[in-house]
Amino acid sequence: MLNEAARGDEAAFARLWRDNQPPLLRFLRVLASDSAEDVASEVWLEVTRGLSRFRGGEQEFRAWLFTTARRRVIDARRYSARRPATVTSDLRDLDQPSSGDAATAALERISTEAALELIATLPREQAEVVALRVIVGLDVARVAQIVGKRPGAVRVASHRALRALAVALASAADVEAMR
Amino acid sequence: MSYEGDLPPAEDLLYRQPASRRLSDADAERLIVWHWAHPEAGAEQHRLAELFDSVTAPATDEELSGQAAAVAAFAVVVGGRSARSRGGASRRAMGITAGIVALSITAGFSGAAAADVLPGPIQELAHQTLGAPAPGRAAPAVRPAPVSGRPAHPSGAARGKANGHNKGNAHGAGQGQGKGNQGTPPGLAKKGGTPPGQAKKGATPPGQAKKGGTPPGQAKKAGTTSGQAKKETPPGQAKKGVSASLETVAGTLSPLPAKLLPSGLTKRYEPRHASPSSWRLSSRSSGKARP
Repeated sequence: MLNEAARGDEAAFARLWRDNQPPLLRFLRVLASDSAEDVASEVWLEVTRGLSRFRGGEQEFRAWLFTTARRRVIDARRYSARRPATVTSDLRDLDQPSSGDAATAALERISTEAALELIATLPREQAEVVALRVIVGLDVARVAQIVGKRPGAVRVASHRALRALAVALASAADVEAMR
Repeated sequence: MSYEGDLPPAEDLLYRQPASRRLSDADAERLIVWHWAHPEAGAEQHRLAELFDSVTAPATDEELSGQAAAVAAFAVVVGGRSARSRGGASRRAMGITAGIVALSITAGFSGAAAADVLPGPIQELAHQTLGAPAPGRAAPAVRPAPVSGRPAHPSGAARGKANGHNKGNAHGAGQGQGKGNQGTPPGLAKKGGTPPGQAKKGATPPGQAKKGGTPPGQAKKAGTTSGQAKKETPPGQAKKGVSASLETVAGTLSPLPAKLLPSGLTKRYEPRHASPSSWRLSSRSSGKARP
């Protein structure tokens, strides 16, 4: 499928897109929830331009795709840091939910969106590791390669993230039990 | 189970649960990869498994709604790339074709100039720029017969001259012809090659020897006299062996400038006609000063 897409086969590219777009969007919602769609479009455009030069299997392609996505997220953060958006009074009521609210929502309706919101409440490094390992399904070595850390550091980060998520879920369960 | 308070509150909360198992590395890996918690694990691990199940749920229609736009962008990018590659290939092919045509024209012009078949002005231009024979000055197919009473034998004269033994005889006979006129292929007579037009300049007046020419009655070759030279190679007699055939070929290529000849031929003729050592030896043997 990768080779056919690299040769310009549109059907093969469509299959490739269908396989990778959902995890890409979820990964981006964790790291850049506001601009996930836009960043995803830019990532696919960049991947399309470089696809003819790509060599490797499915895991290598995923690593390349999410490395590109991570770079785009960093660029988007830098851009938004230079040009901070001004929140109007009408939008202040629609602010992001707190982690407790997200955990409660995740427990109430274990929906994908609520689960992503809960993961997004983690520190950025942990959220990145959990998203790459759980949502994308990459192993420790590839995640370490993408985030530029040692495999041991990735394991530690994922372990801490699991503990934090477990605590958040437990607190939400307590709140739910009190109601 | 009590903690000393040095652990963070999150871990405290996690492990204060009445779970029978702590979150080990194996548990974490099982949760991350399989989204599965051990049956004996605590409730928090089961909640984590549900959470991970939900983030890896099948794709929704909303998530896949941009497929058509993505494929259209892919088609545009791939189409532009293939068009660029086609354009680049055609440009490369045009460049190669132009190069081949230019090379062919240059080679044809050089060959025609060397063969003196170009029109006069163009041949003159080739003569000035490429060192081709001057118009109408290329070695004639039939050379003028020598003035002396010796029977004319162009090829024999050429070979005799190339052999170096015939010069003394030529001067001794009072002909006084330069090397270029004596049958030596122009361009091969002198070191570095001499165009045919310049070979005539090297011709010396009768009775005088210039450069390669030895005084009358003396052979150029070291330690030989004209008499000895005559014994070794009679005038007009062909030289045997590969060198003789090469010299014959060189004689037939006389219109070509030296730069167009194979280097082996030129090198072969250099020491025989223009070697300073042969000059010195010849002068010593004759006991006369070089003019």
